[in-house]
Amino acid sequence: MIELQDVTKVYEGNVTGVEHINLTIEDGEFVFIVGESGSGKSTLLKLLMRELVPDEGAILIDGKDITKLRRSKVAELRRSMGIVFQDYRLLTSRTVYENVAFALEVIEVPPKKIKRSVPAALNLVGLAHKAKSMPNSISGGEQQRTAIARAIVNNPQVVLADEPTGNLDPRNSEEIMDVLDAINRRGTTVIVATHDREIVDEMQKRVIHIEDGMIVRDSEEGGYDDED
Amino acid sequence: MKIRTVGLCMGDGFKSVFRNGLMSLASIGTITACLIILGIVYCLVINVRGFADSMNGTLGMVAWLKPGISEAEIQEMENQLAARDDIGDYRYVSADEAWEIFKNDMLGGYEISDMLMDDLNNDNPLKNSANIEIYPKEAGDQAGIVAFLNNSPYVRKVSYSQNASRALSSFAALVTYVGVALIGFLIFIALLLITNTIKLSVYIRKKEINIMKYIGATDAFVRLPFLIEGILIGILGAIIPTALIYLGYDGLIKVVESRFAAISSLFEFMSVWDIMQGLIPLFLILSVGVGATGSLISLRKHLKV
Repeated sequence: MIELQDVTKVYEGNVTGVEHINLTIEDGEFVFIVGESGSGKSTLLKLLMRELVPDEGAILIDGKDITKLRRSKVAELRRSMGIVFQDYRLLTSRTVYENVAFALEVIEVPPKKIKRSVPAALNLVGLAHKAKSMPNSISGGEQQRTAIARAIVNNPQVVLADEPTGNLDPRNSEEIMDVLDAINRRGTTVIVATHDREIVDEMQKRVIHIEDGMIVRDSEEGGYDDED
Repeated sequence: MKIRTVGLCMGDGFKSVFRNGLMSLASIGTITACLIILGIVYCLVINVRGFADSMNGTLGMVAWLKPGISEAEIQEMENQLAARDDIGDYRYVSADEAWEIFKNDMLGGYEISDMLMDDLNNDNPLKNSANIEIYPKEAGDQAGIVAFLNNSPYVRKVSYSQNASRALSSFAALVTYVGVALIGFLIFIALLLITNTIKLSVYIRKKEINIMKYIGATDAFVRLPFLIEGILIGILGAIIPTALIYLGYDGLIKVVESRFAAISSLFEFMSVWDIMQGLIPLFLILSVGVGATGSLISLRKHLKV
């Protein structure tokens, strides 16, 4: 379970990132964090992945306050998360397979386990046939699916996706959301920050709306602009 | 960290040296140049210090003891000298011994009648010449020892060469200070260059480092390949200066000994092995240290993700 207790983050120059955020996300939930650019969605995700530390408040993951984590323990926290970015962040000099395997290599998973886990992750995102392709030779949607495979190959408890469809056309966006939905159905908590109305309306999941760093709506199920 | 991972990181570090070929070459070249100058300064400092040390033996002072001093008082004086840590060596010379030395040194070449010699032996003309020869550990220690001797109730006079001591002590100190300053400056330059090389390497792999951090790589895992790259550049930069200093110094000594005998009779050079025994560890520590420090400085910013 993820719990944010009165979390505030202010950037240099007195720019508010998020303000007095109180939020609980249960295990296995699928949550959209929506809002316009600069509203605080990415700040919220960065706080969850411990890239930022709040100025006030506590962030509990399974009861542990990650704001108090020592720097050396951040790596351990991130191993329980899968992170997906808008710009995919793939290594262009490595194949699709190698990009996914890289996530396991850096956390020192034995080679035998890597050989088992990578094809399984590629199967889940529907890219088994592209394992030997280079990232530049596949479509944007496929690149994002590679990035998702990399995020889930270690079976994380939570997947954090920051604008995963931001660079994709509607058809590819839909495919990506289908993949994230499939991952969620396996029990993984999925948190997606987006300002893509279409996918939010289509999916009808929990929606947390942020404006100027504050939560203005938290709907258990709904579209981008629905009222409670 | 697992051994297999260390192996992988080492491989990455090696590859990086070649991937950034030109920058690596520039860094290796700079370290080479710095270490050559450092090596020359080191040879100079070691030889001057060696010369100063060897001269300390001739910078001995003589404490002339008061007439009629008892055996117990001489023993007390020796105990006081033994307790001081600025004294390298000392030797008590009795009046009889002083006379024997004088006879051998000064009268050896003269014909002196047996009768006169018997008289002299029976009535030692140097009966007030019992003394203690004292050799300071370093030339700079002389002044303190002289002050101590002048205040001693058993000493009537102290003989020593003040100027030679001061000059040698000052020169050795000057060479050391200049050497250390120059070495410090060169280390700074080498550090600057190696940092830039690794920064380039980090820049090329910025995206990779960023991804690694997000997927849970530890700082040590991210650092290791760059650390190895820095150390490798450092070591490669130390090989040529080591060989050059060895060959150059050895050659110089041989030339001086064969063609400038007058210099080698005045000045005993340290052997090439004496030089290398100190220089190789120094080069190794500096090159590895500079390489590793350069890597850590370059990476610092990128680990804060």
